Amino acid sequence: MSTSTRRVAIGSIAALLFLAACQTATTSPSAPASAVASASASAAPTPVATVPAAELSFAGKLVTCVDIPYPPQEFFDKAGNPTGSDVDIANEIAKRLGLTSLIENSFFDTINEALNAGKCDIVVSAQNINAERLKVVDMIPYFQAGQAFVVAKGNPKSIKTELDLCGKKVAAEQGTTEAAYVNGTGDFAGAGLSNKCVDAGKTAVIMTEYQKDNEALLALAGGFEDAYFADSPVAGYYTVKQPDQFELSGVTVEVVKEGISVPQAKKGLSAAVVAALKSMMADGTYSNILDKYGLKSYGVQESDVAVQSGS
Amino acid sequence: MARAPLGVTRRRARPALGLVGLLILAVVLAGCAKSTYQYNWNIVVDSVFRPTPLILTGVWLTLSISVVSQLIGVLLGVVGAVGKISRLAPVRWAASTYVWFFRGTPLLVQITFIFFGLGVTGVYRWPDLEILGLIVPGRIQAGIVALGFNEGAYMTEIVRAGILSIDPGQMEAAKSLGMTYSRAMRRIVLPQAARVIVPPLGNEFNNMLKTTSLLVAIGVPELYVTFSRMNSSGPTVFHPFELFIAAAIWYLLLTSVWGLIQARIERRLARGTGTSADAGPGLRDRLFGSRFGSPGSGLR
Repeated sequence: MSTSTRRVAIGSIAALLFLAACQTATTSPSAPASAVASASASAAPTPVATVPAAELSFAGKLVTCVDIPYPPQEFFDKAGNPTGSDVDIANEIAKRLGLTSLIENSFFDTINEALNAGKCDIVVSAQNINAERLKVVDMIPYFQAGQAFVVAKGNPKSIKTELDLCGKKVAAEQGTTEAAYVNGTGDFAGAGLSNKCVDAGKTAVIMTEYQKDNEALLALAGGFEDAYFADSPVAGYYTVKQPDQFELSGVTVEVVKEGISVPQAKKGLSAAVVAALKSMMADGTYSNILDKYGLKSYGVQESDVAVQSGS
Repeated sequence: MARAPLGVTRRRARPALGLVGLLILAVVLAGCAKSTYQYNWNIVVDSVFRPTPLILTGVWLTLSISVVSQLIGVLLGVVGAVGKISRLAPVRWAASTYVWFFRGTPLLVQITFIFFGLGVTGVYRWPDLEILGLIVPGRIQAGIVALGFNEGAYMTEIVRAGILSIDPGQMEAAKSLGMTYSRAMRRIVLPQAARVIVPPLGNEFNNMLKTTSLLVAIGVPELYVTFSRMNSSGPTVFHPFELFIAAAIWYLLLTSVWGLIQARIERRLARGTGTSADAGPGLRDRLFGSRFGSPGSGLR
């Protein structure tokens, strides 16, 4: 084999691999090796709805993309298995649809791309419903929460109001509503916290976005940041778990609905998820799950559960 | 090396190979286009020709962090190499341990350890420093230290190879003229070794320009982070295809410009050695590697 033929051969193989990668959205490859099998063992007697086989990325399985950790909604238990209210809800949905549940740990800032590329069937990962996300996915409300700023124990920078954050260092996870809220991007275009600071004649917030949420918290713990910004249940969880390190600043942002994301083209799947969620609410399983993680006040009403689509 | 005879067939095969490449690209793009994804090629054009201040900041950070880290790396490399060939055993051990550790652990581990590890324990909290009138954030200092020390380990081996390539007679001759070891090293051996060191050093710097993207782990908003943030929120949200093509073009621009600079440096170093300046590899060979190059390239 001469070098040039070899090169063409290698090129063709590479192209074939690339082509195969392009097609993952339409075909059904085997389940990803990184997926972690869930603990939901008992199978439901009869599924509350049937998902069209063509709308499942992996036959007989419901793969859920979750960005772990974001406790108490998603975190790893002592044995290293994914757990939390979102994980339990995903497992329960799969069970009620007669499918095996698989949890796929993902990066939050590309989680909707992972969904649309067929790496998973749904996303249950504390995603706020907003216009930006509704452009690329359909979302089903399942949870609601505000957002809160966590500061170091004793609040050394005395952050008591939103404008106290002007010129301070704030950490949040990349791609979150929190980052958009401070920077004034997406749904907060031109009206972010930094914009408010500038309007008030102060300096903008020094915002750093981290790839994983725990890195943002770690940066606060390390003293690199003045505040860590996350959903209120998560912010509350960390201050309760590490009371000698963190405390809530008292600055919170209004409550927003969080949604389960489904690809826009998979209407059968989103209808099935709605049916499963409603049946969970009707028999009390939903509130039991929230209760288990101390999240009872963050639940939504059965009447809220309906597919939301972008225009 | 038996490279020269291949030249003629190579040159004839080149257009054909290019055509095959284009065909493959077309097939791949056609295959991808079947999805419902809405391509917005303006994102690529704008990001490259009308970059926002955010993108320019990313380019500046990538470039400045790379240059400073590489300088630290070269400095540590010279020290490390001299240490590794030292007659004093403890110095040799120290240099070897340094190379062993920084080449033996992943750079990502080093970056996160140096920033988060030292910070959380309070060993060193990386305060922002004012250096030459510029306020350098702690995370950037930590990134430069991690990249520089990692690079230093690789440069140690490169510089050592360069020094070993110089005939021991040079050192002996310098000493017989009354030069001290360090003076002979600086004046006689290292300048000659530079000719051997510079090509792999260029390779390392090319690598460095791209490796800076690992600083995403500690939140440094360099070029890659800039584009990944543009993908996560704002007007270009959820356009990973176009955004990362644009990011790739920026990186290619940086590495190509460096390729030009390196060619000049090598030509300068080749002066007075009897090899003609034109004998060195041209830009095309430099960018695409010697395999596509004219005969004679890759002969060094």
